[in-house]
Amino acid sequence: MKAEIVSCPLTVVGAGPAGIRAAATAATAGVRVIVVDENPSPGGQYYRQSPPEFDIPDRAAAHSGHPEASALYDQLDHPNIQVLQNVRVWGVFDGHTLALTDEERTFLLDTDRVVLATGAYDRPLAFPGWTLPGVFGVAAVLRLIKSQWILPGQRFLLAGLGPLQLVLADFLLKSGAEVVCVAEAADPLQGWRHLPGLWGHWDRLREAYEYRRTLSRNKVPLLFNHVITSASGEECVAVAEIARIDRDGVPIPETKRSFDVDAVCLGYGLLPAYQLAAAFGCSLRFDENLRWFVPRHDEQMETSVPGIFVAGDVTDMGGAHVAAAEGQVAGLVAAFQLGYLEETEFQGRMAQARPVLRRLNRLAESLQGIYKFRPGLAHLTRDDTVLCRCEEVRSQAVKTVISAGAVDLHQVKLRSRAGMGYCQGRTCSSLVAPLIAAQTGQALGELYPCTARPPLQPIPLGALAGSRSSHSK
Amino acid sequence: MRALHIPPVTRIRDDTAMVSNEVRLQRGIKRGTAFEITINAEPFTAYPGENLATVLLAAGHSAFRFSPISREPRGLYCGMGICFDCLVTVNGRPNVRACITPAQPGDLVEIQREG
Amino acid sequence: MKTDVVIIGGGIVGCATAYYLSGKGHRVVVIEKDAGAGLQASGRNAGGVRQQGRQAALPLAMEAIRLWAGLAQELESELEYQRTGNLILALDGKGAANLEEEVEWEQEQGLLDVRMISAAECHEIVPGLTDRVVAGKHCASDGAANPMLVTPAFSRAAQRQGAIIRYGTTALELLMQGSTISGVKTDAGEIEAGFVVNAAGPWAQRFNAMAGCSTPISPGRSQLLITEKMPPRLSPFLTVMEKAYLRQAPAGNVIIGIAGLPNEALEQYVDFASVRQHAANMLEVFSWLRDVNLIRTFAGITEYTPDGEPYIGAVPGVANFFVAVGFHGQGFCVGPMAGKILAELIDGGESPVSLVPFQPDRFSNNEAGSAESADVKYPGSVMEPKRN
Repeated sequence: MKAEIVSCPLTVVGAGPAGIRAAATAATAGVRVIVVDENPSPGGQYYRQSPPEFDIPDRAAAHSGHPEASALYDQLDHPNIQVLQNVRVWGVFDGHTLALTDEERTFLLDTDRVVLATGAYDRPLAFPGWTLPGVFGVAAVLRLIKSQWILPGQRFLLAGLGPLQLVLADFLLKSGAEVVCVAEAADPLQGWRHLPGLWGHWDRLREAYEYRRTLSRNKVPLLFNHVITSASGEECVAVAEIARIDRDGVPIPETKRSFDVDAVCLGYGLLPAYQLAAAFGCSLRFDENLRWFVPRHDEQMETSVPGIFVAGDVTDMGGAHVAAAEGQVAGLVAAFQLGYLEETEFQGRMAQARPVLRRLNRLAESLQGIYKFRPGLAHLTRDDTVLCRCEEVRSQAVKTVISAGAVDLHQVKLRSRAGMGYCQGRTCSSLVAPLIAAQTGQALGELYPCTARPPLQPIPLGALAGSRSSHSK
Repeated sequence: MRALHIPPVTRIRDDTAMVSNEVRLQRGIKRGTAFEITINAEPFTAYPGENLATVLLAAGHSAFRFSPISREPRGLYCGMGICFDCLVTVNGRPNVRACITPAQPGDLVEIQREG
Repeated sequence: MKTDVVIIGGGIVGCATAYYLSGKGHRVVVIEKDAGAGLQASGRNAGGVRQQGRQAALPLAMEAIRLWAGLAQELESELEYQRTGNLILALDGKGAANLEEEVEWEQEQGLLDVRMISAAECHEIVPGLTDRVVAGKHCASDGAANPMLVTPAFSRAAQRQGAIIRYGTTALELLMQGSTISGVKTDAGEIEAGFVVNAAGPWAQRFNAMAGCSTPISPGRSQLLITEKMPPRLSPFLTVMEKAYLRQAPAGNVIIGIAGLPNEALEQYVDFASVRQHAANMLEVFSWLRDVNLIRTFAGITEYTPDGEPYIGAVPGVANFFVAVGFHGQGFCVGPMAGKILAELIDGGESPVSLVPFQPDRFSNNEAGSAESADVKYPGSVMEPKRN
């Protein structure tokens, strides 16, 4: 039984700020757009909405604290835009046909241009005890508090790299939780050369200052050059340990301090969700600040594959404003390429959009430079620390197969199972690669991630075969 | 309508106990009509729009499963459906991601202990 | 560089040959274009170690099973080899009749533990089977292993015995002095050797052609679908006639395999239509798969020959040039035995199994003319009955 095929000129994957702006920009130029989003409602991670069943008096609070959010969603309400919520792209076939599923059935989407606005996720960081319940990523805690309105603990230790920690600490304190410490891995002295890029972004600097003041008012220590070194407990985390790190990011044992906690929040930056881009064949470049791979794109947000664009956190993790600006550029270029914009109008609108994007990018790049990923953070594990959470593969097992000749992520996967599980390496690839680099002498940038094959996320066989409720031929 | 049984659940840490309902933030929010789900056959309150992870945490369950090989406790980690650690069995179906699955009235949730 | 034997290809055949040859004291160099051993078909199959359902290669497979019994210990490696049996299921009378003919012939060849079983017995062995199954053919001494572990184990064992493996190196040409092989030219220089073995699988033909021997090989594509883990419920390796084959790995994932698709461009891709079709096929046989998640897929390049049999042995007309290729569907089980046989031949010994059906030049000397007329047939998505 052949699968249903729909077609449209432009597909946008992801309904966060980048995807919404891309779709809206193209739609107003006349392009028919399908937006595919795996969540129940638009907004992505940044504008995570509260459930519609919750009656929330404060409009801003209903949109994770962002009053501008509903204006953003309104942009999707356009006759040229069709939004598919709770639908995910699980494969790319023949270079331009997307396979979609809603967990009940699958159908194909034939399209001419694609904007991939698939966002990013919390960067995993492995250390002894990181798999304990109660050890959360920042996104998990923000989502629980801001959209599910639940506090997942009472006594938090925050450990991370980047200004998002301040935002979370502020929020936790205002929600009535205790924050015992914020361990910031950045070195304020090393980031000075990036400070000029912050020039002019007074509102952001003021925000940061306010967050710092909240912390000191509440007597929450903010320790720079500190990382989390372990989490321990029985069925939930009960003790978290931090230590000061040296210039290379290696913990100094004499400086270890322990805290009684019931929750740990890890904010060590983001990793782009590039799997769909990789499935299209888009090439990835190694980013020196991130010390990981991002989809490559040009000034027009086009990837190495003609007609495939990226926008937002999936490529430049600069936050919602950068995402929106990039989405707008991608939408403009796609509309122009599809013939919906005249050359002069296109150039005119690009001339307006580019400086905005450049200015935002300068700030983002400065922050990325200040908070660049310190190589020592990749070596906080012990031999018995789990690296691949899905398959329970520990550091020692990975090191053994590397010693036996597995010289890249693919071979380590085949011989140790690390990366073979449900998440297909999203969590462990950036943890395993540094071990391969250290043991084999290769540069991290040479350890290209494994090929992204379908399904990009699990799909029930019944949905794949036909309809899950009636799987007959 | 009979009163919903919300047993006090303690999150053990030192000698400080915490009653489950305190984890839900009030802030003037009106949640819809409460319903019941069971976790390991024990009834707990849930509200429309909450996902299973929320209900589990509110019920005092930090560990959502025990890993198949080494039996280590696992729970919520990424919170957005990509790490596959928050897996629970729901109505007989194993390996369901609690963080992205809405709770439905009458759901039977089991903490996975078998491989 | 100078050595005794150069082996083109670091798959299971090449690495096994290297292992057995180095075990006899020969200096061996393996040339492998990929970054590791066994990354092509040798590592991209469902892991079946099977005797039943073969044609001319049955004696070879039976010898191979004897070898497999001690392999993990010999190679000092975990191979996840299990002798949990192989069951072929017929969904109609015609299929069952074909299986019955096979049983008769296989038992004549000495495969004594193969037998027909009733539908009821099939249901006993495989819970959750569809009522559509009418009969089965079971072989108890068949089994399975983990392909991703086996070839690396051979390569490591070979290296422990002094073999050298050059990864990331592509063989370009045979070097000959008159009609005697003298080595191999690679993209990293020339290697002089007294013997050369062609174990290059789908890429083998050009080297054989250089030696004046036409070995028609056409590349195929196989796809594997891997499900999430589940508690153990499928014990033997299963083939559903005209549908697909599957087995449950020790880790708990179910591996569903489909082979026989054409692949002129030597690509490894997974195509939507056949994946969907085979998911549907499998649901017909195991309806409980409906709610089971597919978590990954991958493809492999296989090789087909006009008569479905491999080419094994000395290449006539060129001294000291040996070949073992064309193994579609049997490389994993038979590969180690082919390596052992080549090592014997090179060492001056004999093959324990007749190699007449596998003569490398059987299509070159074809009365009907040149190799072009020896068309390769693809099984397609239909698992054809083996005997006619």
